[in-house]
Formats: sequence, C-alpha cells, structure tokens
Amino acid sequence: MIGLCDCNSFYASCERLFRPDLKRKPVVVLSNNDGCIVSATAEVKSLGIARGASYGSVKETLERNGVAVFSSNYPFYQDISDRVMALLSESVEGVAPYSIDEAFFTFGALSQTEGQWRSYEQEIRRIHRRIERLSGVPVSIGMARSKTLAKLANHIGKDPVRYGGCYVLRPELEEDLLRRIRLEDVWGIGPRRAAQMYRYGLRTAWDLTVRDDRWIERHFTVTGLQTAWELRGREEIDVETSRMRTLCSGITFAEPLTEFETVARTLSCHCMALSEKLRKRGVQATDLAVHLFTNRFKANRYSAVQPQPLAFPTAYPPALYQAAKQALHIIWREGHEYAGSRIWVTGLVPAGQRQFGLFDSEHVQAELDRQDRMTQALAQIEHDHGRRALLCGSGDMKLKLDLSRQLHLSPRYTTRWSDIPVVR
Amino acid sequence: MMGAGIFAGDILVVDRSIRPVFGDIVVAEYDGGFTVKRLLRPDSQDCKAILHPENPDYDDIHVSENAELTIFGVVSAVVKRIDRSWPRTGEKASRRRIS
Repeated sequence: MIGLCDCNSFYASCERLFRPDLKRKPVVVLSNNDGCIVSATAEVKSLGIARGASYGSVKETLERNGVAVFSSNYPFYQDISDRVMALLSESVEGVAPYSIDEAFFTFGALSQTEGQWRSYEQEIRRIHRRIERLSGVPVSIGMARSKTLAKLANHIGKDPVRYGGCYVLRPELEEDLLRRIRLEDVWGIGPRRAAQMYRYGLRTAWDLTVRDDRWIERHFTVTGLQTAWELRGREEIDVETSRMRTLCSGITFAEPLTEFETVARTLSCHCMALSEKLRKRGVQATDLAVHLFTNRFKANRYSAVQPQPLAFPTAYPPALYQAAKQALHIIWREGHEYAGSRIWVTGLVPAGQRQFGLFDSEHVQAELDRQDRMTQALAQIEHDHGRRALLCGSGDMKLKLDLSRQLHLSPRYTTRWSDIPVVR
Repeated sequence: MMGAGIFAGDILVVDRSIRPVFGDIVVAEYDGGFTVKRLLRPDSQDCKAILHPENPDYDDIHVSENAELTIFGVVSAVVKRIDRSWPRTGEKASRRRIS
C-alpha cells in the first residue's frame, strides 16, 4: 500500500509548537512579504478566512477574533519538517517527500483478510501517534493502493472526529468513494481539466476510471491517463518526476519599484532562494525565465516574460543571476512602476550528472567544479547567518530594499542557539 | 531547580520520546507557558500531579484535576555554560532564569 503523511496546517502548527499560550488560539502564517495568508489553523478557516486571502483584506477580522499572526519563518519550518520526515523514515519504507509538509511512503501488503486489515490499521495508527508525539505537530496519514488514492484517503482521514487523522482505503471501498469525489478534487486534475471533463459528460472520479484508455489519452493526454490508472488502483505516478519540473521564486514588492538596479536586486534575492531550492532537491537548472510586471489593476499595465538559457546546468547563484540580469535588460522598460518580479528555473536535471560537450576544455570543467564548491560554501554561510546574508551582484548592500516585510517573525527556536525556547 | 542541579542559563536537553513517569524532571506546558519542574505523584483527590520546583524559595504547584497540563518532554541532560558571556546580560538574562 501507498501512504501519504501530511502535516495539518503545517506552518501554523509549527508556530504553536513552542507557544503553549497559543494551543487553543487561532493562528495564521503570512507569505514572504506578509502579503497573504499561507497557513491557517482550523479555527481561522471556520471564520471564513481561506488560505490565499490577502492580509490587508482580513486584518481587521483577524484582530477582532484574537488571531495570532506570524510572518513565515522558513528555516524553522524546514527543521520541523526534517524531524517529521526522519520520524516517518524510522517506521516505513520508501519515504519520498513531496513538499515541505507531505511525503509518500510504502507500507505493507495489498490483499488481506478482515482480521489482518484491522491489525494493519492499528499499526498505521501507532505510527501516526508516534510521529505526532515525538514531533509535536499534528499529521494525517492516508493509505491506499496508489498515490492518487492515498491523497484522497489522507483527506478523509483529516476528519478529527470520525477518523482521528488516519484512514486506510481498502480496495473494495474504492468505487463507493470515487463515485462521491468530484473531478477537480482529484490530485493532478486542475479546475481547467475538470471543466473539460465535465463537457465530455464525466461527473465523478469514478466516471473517469470506467472510460476507455485510448479515449482518455486522446482527450486528456498521457497525464490524464496516468491519473485514471492511479484511480483504478495502479501505481503510476513517480513522485520524483511529477514533482515540479520547474521551480519558482517570486515576490510582490512592498512598494512599486522604478529603478533598474533595485529590481535587479530583487532578482538577486530570487537567485539565492532558487539556488537553495535546487540544492535541496539535488538538481540543477538548464533554463530560466524572468517575469516582470506592473500592478494589473492600474493603467499603463506592463508584463513581460523573458526566457534565458543557462550555459551549463547549474545551481550556482551568480550564474543564475548573470542570466537573469541579461533577461531583465531585454524586458526592462523605463518609466513603469513595477509591482513584482519572478524567476522560474526549468529543465531540472540531477546534480552531478552534467553532460560535458566534446569540446569543453578541462578549463570549463575546473570552473564548474569551482562553482559547485562555491555553492556549497554559500549554502554554509546562509545556514550559519540566515537568509539574505549574501546577495549576488555588485549592488550596494546597504541599499534600502524592503523586500521582506516580516513584522511578525518568530524566533528560530530550533536552528539558532540564541533563539532556543526559554523555560522557567 | 537548584536542588536538581539546574541553574539559570543552563541548556536543557529535552527528550520527547521518553514517556514521563513520576519522579522525572520534565518541561511542562502549564498555564500558557513552559516550566521545568520535577513531576511528582498527586497527594490528594482533586489533584492530578505536583510540579515541584526543587527550590526552597518556591512553592509546589498542585495541578488540579480539571487544569490543563501537557508534558512537553523529559529533561534528559543539562549543559552548563562556563564562560562569562552566558547568560546574556539584561532582559535576556532575566528571561533565562530558571526557578
């Protein structure tokens, strides 16, 4: 069976971990720039405030209801995530993290008798309790025959009263469940794809599974077919390849920017962030694209995307930055009030599997080795001194750039000695 | 917690995997905050545990049956800093005082 372990309201739960006073209080965590809500506890959701709501628009409601507000503290969340993943790995096989707060894994056999199912479910519950007790954050576990089904099982298990965070979807119950699941609620089917499916007369997830393979592939490509197979209980989707063929770092500026150098600095921040994301996944990028945009609700709107290939697959910030700056030169238009910037990296390949061209000299190889070592060194400095300790480019470090409005930042309880929790 | 050899500024190693039993030194979540105390068996009906401060200047906390008490973890080791810069002076130092 395939399992999906997922942390409930992860960022908000982390913020609660070292704050006993918030145990029963609603908590939200804001995005990078204190722009919008990225994580909220159940109490906040019941106030009608959803993830993605802009902070400004709900600020008053939050204050009125005594909601504790935090800026995002990624080093802290990552450390707690590492703990959860480590605990999971101690109990089950094949743990494959899918995002900071969820991981797939494999555990146990497929066909069992009633009595065996019972003990199987007990075992899953035991693992569930252990992860919650040792990590201190609430998690949900869903088990089923495929990843897509595990995702659904996980969602069902989240119901605290009925299932208490764990749900094992037995094969004989799949049909009954899929007949009640709307297409857009299936992992891998977005709203647009779902709308398409509705036009072909499909109504529930079950309707997709009973269609002919060739019909599905013709209308919804091989991706749609994979999803159908997964819903039929056949494991098809590989986490490593399905997970992000691209990575993105983007920001909406606190205030509109008009200077080239200032905007370039934001790209520099993106490059540092992307380098970290790439390193964490053990991959390197072959292409990047820069997106620059003005406020889309204002007159004289401008938005442009410029792709830029990288000379070699890389995670080295200065190499990314050099390409990003070239792209910025191409799309830069003087006189606009820029509202945000974004960089995507694509063509991700495993690090260390660089293909050298026949004519690449030893000199090139030596340079790339040097870049790899530099990247490691930069990673260490960032780890020791925090994000944005370093930036690329020749910009003035003192140049005031209010990129990270983080007025509600919590301490780095678990990664910085001076920030460890205090007890009396 | 002087009686247990824990002084202001000490760093506690807290193990969440140990199941607490009476007699353990624990970090507890009590009354909206963290506190380090020796966990002792209750001495009356309406009490579920005693948090003993191991310090004659402070009184035992009798945790009543309906009060909320969560054991965050069991203290498994104490790390002593012996340089002059620790604990930090001023506000931080007073926050670090462990009773």
